[in-house]
Amino acid sequence: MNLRFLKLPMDDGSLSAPFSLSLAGDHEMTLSPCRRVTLYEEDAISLETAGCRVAVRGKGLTLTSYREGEICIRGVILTLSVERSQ
Amino acid sequence: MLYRLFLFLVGYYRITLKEGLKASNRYLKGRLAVSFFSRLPSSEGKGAVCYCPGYRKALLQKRFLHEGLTAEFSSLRGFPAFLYRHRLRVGALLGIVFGILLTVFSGEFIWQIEITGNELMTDGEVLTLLRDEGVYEGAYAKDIDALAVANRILQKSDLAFIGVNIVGNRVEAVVLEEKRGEEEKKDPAPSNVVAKKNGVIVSVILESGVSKLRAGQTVSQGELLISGVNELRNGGYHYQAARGQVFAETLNEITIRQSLIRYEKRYTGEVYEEKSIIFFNKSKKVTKGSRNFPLTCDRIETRERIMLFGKIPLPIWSVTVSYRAFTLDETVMTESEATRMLRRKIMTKLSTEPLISYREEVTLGEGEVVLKVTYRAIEDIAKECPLFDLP
Repeated sequence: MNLRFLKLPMDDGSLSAPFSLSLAGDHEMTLSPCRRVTLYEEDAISLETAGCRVAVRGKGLTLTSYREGEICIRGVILTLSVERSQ
Repeated sequence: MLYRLFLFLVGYYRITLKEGLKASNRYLKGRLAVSFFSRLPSSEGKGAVCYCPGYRKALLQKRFLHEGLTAEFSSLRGFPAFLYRHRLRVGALLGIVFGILLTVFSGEFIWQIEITGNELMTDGEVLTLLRDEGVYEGAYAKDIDALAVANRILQKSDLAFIGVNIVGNRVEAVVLEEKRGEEEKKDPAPSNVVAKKNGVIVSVILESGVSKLRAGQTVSQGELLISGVNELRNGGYHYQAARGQVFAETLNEITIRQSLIRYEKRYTGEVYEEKSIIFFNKSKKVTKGSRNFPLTCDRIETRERIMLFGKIPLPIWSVTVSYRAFTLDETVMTESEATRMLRRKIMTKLSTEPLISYREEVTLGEGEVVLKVTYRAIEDIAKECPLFDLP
């Protein structure tokens, strides 16, 4: 019996865009790695991470730390959305 | 206390009563409606003294006369008297007024901008970004929405983050830059190494990837030197970033020209200076009149910030612009001088490359000397070429 191994698909980077996002209840969020902040308002914060855009909406949102690519946001988080970059 | 301040500001008279004192202090205070009615100091003899605002002098004189009192009025005292005494010192008074206004209102404007956190971008680049959003020394601080400014800068720049805080008349901008380089180092995109020019392979220093080059092999421009694609035993492929140095013997040709007519700059010695002051971003010339500067002159601008006590930066700059006039003297070089100049230029360019052979050809063109150099050298011809077109 011949076993035919599947050829691995070409890795163009689109399937591997790792980032980790953690939520502590609805009042704290940590994201890593974060490339940049594109919007910073009290009720909305938008971030760019590896291959994706993360939008956080809520109340009293503040960026408490942004160090070595890891960002921490505190406040009342109402919605969280992740959108893959084109 | 407040009344004394009031008397000082409006001006007052010191009234001395020595004769015809008919009644008690209380009576006189009540009848004459003056405050501060007290006994004269013993050194001045018996009597009483009181003070009245300057505008009540005429009225009081009548009342004293009516009461049969003899009163002596001093000269006007207080702030109006001070102003009158120094009435010719207009500049000093204007300076006092200006100083008060400056103290009161200067806190409304931005005096200083402090930038921290930038490593790749210069302070000037960050200041330019802030200036485009209306944040600059001399701007009205109350009109600036710091959060909106930061968001606009984030939209149009590559910064990872910027925080703008206005503390009194100082702006603090904290910048965080996007460190793409570090991310690529950790996880570089797959790539091949190809030849950037034709050559004969001498040696290869392989860091990553697969190479089947051998010494003496001839490669042409664009040819694959080190592959980033590794075929696995199970039939799959592994992609990586190929890295390495590929040294090859290359044949190169350079042609440079030198005109025989040369222009030399010679300063005439004439120097003109213009001085101005920049105050809260507004420039004001200090030197009088305007000059017709020569067309050919070097313009050197020196800007110096004024520091208070050598430590505190003020939003005031002293600017000196110097104009140094020069003429361009035309000289004609000989062919050998021009050739020597060309050779110096070539040697500077080739000084870092190990040459195997060198041949030059000098020709005389129309008013110029042409030097054509053909040389063989050993150089690194490796050039990275991404495997995939990533966004």
